[in-house]
Amino acid sequence: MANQLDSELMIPNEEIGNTLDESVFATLLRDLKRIGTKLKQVLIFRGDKDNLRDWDLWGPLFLCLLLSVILSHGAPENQSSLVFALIFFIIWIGSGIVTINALLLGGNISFFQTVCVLGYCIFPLNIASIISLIFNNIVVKFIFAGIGFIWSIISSISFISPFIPTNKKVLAIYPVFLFFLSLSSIILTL
Amino acid sequence: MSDTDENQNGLKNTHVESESENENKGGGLFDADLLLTSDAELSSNKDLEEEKQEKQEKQEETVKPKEENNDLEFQSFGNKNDQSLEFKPEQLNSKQRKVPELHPPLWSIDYYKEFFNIETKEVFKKMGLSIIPFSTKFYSRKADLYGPFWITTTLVFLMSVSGNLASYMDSRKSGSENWQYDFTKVTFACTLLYGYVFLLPFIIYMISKCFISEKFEMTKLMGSIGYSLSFYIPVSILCVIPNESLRWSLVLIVGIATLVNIIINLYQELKNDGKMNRVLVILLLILLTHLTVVFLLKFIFFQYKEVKN
Repeated sequence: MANQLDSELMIPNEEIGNTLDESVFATLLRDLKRIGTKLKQVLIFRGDKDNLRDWDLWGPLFLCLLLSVILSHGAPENQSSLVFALIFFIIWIGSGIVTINALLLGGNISFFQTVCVLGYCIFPLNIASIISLIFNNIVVKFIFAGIGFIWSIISSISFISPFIPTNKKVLAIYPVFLFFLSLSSIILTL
Repeated sequence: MSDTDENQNGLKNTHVESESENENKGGGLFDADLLLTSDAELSSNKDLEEEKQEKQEKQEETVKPKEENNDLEFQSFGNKNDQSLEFKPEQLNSKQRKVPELHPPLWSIDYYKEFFNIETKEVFKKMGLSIIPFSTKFYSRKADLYGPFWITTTLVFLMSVSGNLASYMDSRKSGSENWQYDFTKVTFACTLLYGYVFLLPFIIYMISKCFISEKFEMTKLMGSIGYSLSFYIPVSILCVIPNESLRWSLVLIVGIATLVNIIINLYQELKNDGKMNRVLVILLLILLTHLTVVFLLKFIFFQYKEVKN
């Protein structure tokens, strides 16, 4: 019920009167709940698309930091800071460039909303990276990174592709493909 | 861009002004007429003078409101009509697609939309055209930046992945198990390739703007170089195979084919400007940079190294 209203009005309408005197914990919990529902939308990828219209960047930041920490932990010792920076760079600059590319191709999308969608779509790769950190085996890594990659890409394309002109769809989707491919290839190096 | 254009126009105007005023008038009118009557044909010479007068009046009316936006420099000249008449056609000629006043600024997304107005088929067609050594069709196509940017990005990614894979294969071959992923290859590939595709054409554009030709289009050279890199995509995958002679021959064949294509296309573009020495210097600059990039790609990414324990 609350979610439906959220997506319709784009404001947390249920709390309008009482956000000032609630505890910090309640505020954080509400934000976490919202991030949770968006992650669910990404995972089932045929979910309610309006839910992601109410964009935030907390979720992507959290997922990005998690992935950076996991992958830099697995990198060679003298290169772990480089890997951390690289993941951070690919996720933020990369998703920005992918979005600008879609805009330039004439896509009817909003910038931050698409960056938010791409950020949330890293979630399958997070799961894959955690699994491959636990089972340090090249075959397991390959299988899970592959599944994570396909999951991420189907989920993000189902959000972005309806807004791109038909004769340019491939051109807009290719960078998304490259974005997730580069991230999942780093998982293989764990 | 628009800043320099205006400066040049200003210079031209003052130059013309210093000559006799009659000539100035004639020149201005002629330019305007060329523009206005390019589709409506002029039939006889007798009517020409009258028509010119009419056109001038019309032009005056249409141009006057716009002139208010111009610099004071332009308004201070005595012969207002001629300046406006000379000013207009040049701007229209240099930017044929849109009216200059409506052209979006350099920092807006709309400015770059023009360079991304390309369809999927066209991208593949241009890739094909960029490797045929003696084909000059590439420059006749509309310039875009989608291809150069994403081909370079793909290549940066592939170079760092397959370069590491190649060294992994080599370490397997030499029986070493002390191999680790080298992430510094990513940053190196980035600098090398983006520099080659975007910085080199910019430098050449600056040189050519100063010494050779005003009309030189930077985006076309970026396209020519960027699209030619698309053939390193299969090469970088095939170079994973641990065989030195195969790697050398692949890199050299593609390197030379694309080099000939880039140079011939650019030569076609610049040869009409007459200053052969200067054109040759630019071609030499491209030749050297291209060969440097090809050898760096070979030595950094596809070099067989005996890894010792």
